[in-house]
Amino acid sequence: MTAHWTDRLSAYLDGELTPGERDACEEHLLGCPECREVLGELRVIVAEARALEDGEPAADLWPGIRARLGGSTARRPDRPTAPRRVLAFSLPQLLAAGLAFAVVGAGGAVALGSLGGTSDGAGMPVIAPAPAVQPAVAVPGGAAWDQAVTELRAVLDAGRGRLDPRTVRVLEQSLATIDRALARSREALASDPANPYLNAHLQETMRRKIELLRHAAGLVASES
Amino acid sequence: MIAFAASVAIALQGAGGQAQPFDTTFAVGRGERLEASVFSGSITVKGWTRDQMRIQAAGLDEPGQAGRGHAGGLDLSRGGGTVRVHVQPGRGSGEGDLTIWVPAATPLDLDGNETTITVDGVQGSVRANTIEGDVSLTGGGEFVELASVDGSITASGVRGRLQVSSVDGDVVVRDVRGAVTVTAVDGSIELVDVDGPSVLASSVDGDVSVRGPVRAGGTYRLTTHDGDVTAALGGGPDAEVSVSTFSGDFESTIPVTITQSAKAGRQFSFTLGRGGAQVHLETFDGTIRLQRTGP
Repeated sequence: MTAHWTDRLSAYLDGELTPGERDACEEHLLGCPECREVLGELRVIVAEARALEDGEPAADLWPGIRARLGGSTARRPDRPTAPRRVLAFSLPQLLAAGLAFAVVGAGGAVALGSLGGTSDGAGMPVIAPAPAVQPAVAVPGGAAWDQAVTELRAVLDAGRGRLDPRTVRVLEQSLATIDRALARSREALASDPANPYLNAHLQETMRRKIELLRHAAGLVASES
Repeated sequence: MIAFAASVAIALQGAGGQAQPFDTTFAVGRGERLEASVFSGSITVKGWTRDQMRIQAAGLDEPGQAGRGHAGGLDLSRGGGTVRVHVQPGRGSGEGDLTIWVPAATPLDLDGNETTITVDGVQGSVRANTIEGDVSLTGGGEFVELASVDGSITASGVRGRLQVSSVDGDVVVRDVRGAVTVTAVDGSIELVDVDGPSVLASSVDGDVSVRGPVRAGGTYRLTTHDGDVTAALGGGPDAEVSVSTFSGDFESTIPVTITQSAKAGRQFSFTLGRGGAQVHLETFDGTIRLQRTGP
């Protein structure tokens, strides 16, 4: 990750780069999982900001992202210029989206650690170090993870009327699938707490739930 | 050449009051991008060798239809190195079928809601995202990102990094040269002839399989919670393999000598050939199968 590209990700997202710059940026993204992760976070902010009037959530999310950049001097992303819309989400809900990143990042780090590795060296789309968050928040049933799930769930529940009923049904079924997997993993882990596979599997499944809820919240935002 | 710097709404009306198919062809510059979206219907993109873009639209709103807003419902604009084609509610119902021919290297950014997306014969980067509908891609390069909430996804012939995300639907990936990451929640994942530095496939409820040569030094991680994991490996195979399951089984047609084991034989590792590649196979309670395939 370089400051040069982190400075340009917002412009890339907004389609403001020249074709040459865009190609260079995409080439850099291919080999830089950190920048891809930051780009993903910016995408969510933009998607959710489209549902806002001139609110402040982006300002509150930015310090967290800046911290994830390791203290880089990356500039704050430009505010999106989407048409003004009615406020769709509460500040806590948006913060939950940001919190989810932190929890997932920490969970991923824990999962990798339990497998005895620090990186798969393969450009996984997530699992970057999250120095601003203690890994302990991602333990099963941890308050931060629970809060993130609750808040993201609230976004989906509040906005489900904007989605096609079939889409809602699919999302609910898949969330139920993950919940069943979580329940079975927790049950297994209760009988074998030191099992490294079970610990990693549970963390991964927790990450999948956050990921799906985030996706669902993004769909709600895009339909608002 | 058509020059359109500002957005134009297409309103076409035939003598009988019916919406006419829209069809236009214009020259495009090297590296010009295509951004297309259809709320409900289909997007089909085909790569060709001309330095032109051809856009066909059918199934658009009929002009004057009550409650449907702007007749035609197609927005076409161009600027900043991007051609934009949108069929979205607001100017109409958002229903339509787009077929677009592009120079093969054109970067694509495609979005749909209740939309099937098909891309064939392209070489540039592709992002295709729909909520309800299948996504099918042949070709693509650099960075390819495919996603569907409710629909199957197939990709073949990608020459670059491939990232696939499905919530409820099966994923099939064939003949890819590049890193591959596939996630599904309710759906199986099938990877065939994938050659990349990393091959990562993860489902929650579905089988996961990979078939093909093992790349020297490559990393393969196949995981699921409720389903079977099958690795049919060719090209040696030379790999360090780890197997993890809670209550599942392991079957192998390749003789293996376990070098590390724990948890009553449900978590273990071994080396095939000279090692080199890293292969991780995990399922909570399914069957893990290791097979040799091909030369």
